[in-house]
Amino acid sequence: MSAAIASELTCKELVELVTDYFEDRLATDENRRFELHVCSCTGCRVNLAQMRALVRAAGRLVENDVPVAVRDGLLRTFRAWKRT
Amino acid sequence: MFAYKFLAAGAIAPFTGRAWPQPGPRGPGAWIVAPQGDLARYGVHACRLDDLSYWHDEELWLVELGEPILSARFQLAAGRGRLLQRIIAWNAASAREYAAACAWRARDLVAEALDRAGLAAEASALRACLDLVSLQASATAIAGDAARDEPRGLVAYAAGAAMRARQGRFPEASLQSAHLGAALTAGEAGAEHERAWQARWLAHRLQLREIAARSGVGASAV
Amino acid sequence: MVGHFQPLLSPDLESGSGAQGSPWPRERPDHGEQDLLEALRGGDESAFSRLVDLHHASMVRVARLYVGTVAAAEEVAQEAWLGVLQGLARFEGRCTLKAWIFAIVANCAKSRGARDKRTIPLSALGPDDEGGASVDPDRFLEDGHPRWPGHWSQPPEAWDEDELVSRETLEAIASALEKLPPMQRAVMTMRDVEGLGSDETCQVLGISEANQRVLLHRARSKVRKALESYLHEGEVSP
Repeated sequence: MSAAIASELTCKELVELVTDYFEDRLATDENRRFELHVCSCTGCRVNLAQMRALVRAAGRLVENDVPVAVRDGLLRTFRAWKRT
Repeated sequence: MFAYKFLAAGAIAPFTGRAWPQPGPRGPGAWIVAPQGDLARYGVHACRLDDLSYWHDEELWLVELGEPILSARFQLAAGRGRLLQRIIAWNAASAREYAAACAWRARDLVAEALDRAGLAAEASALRACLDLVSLQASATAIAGDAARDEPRGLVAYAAGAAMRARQGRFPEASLQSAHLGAALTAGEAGAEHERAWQARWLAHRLQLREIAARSGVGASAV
Repeated sequence: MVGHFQPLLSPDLESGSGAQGSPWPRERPDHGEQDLLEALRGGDESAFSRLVDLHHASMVRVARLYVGTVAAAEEVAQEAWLGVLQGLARFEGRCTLKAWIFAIVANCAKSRGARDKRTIPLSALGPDDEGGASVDPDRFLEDGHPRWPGHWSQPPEAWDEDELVSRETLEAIASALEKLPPMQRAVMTMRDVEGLGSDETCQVLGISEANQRVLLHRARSKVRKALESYLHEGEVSP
């Protein structure tokens, strides 16, 4: 809690809540306190945006190429399975 | 019923990332409907005039809300909402003015506190400041390393507000002023009082009531 | 050997997550998997091929959480495909196909680890034990600060989002993921790289939701920090 305003979150407290916030797991009251703080604090807003951007970027890590040899092997497996 | 809403650039909701449909030549933006469930939590959120100072963002919009509408602390929550018009008076320039206004407000508050504490010379020095640079310097010097609950210590909030105002950082400048309010009253009532002052400043500077009246939407949420 | 897989995920596994109106909208395309499944059950080879395209690389990534080398992970993934085919008739669609497939991969990987009598990097038995803050306490003002205890002293600087799509940056993120403790890496891989929901991730890894959330937070925080260093200093930390 902040020095002057007990009900406000501090930045140090808030950064620990970011994932809970994204998972929609904060109680409604705390959820609102979280959002209120972010509106008054550029540092926390940036931190939130970074976490969000990071998760989006992680979703782009997917490289999906299947080597030809692997694919051929799997098709053989499939055909063998089909016969059983 | 109309209300106000801060959004990130491009009419993007800052927390959900959802893009609000923008108004066009044919009228208001399309309605956004809140999902089913806890209205307070998942409803479309918007501000009454008094709430504005809590929810700063880059764009300010006049919005229309549809039933049901829940009145909660700090915000309204509605079953649906749509954008009516952008308050173009809220922009980088007016935001800077706002930050400065918060700094000068902080100056006035601490000058009064210094007067009450019999520190007339210090109060005078602060009142003599004509720009944010000198306010920051003067306030910093007066505050020194005095304890927070001493009158001199409180002056540090004015220094903080001035510094943020020079940087155009209105969320932080207004927060400094709100915390000063709390420190002066040793409780949250003082913070709320400052937030109300800030909201009135915004309403006046941005002519929000006039804009809302001209929109012809209907009852004010305020 | 292949064929001796543990039972399918328990029937109460729910698909997806992301509460309505949640601050983190989750939208992953469905790829028309219902149709693919039907075709596959009918022995359609092109459906199988399509499924391989969709999932094989992810399966290798998941297997890699459990086994030591990419080569071993590749073998596990290939074994797992037979398990998928053999289990097809039993799959009821109560969870997403992806989650079900991942569970099969996990089982294969664990069987292999037991078979090879090697300890596997990822133990489902316990979470890692790290405590501590997700952001360096030095970045905040001290608790005794008169006006702003716990507020940023060194706030983060905004990233240019365009930077985050470059190949180099994605490699830096992948590198940071590799360095995470095993369970953190597993959770973040499942949730953020592979797009599994919270419930599914918990089922595949055999952990509680609360535990999963803590691990996810630590993982993301570490990767954020590594990415911040990379973007600021242009280096991947050792």
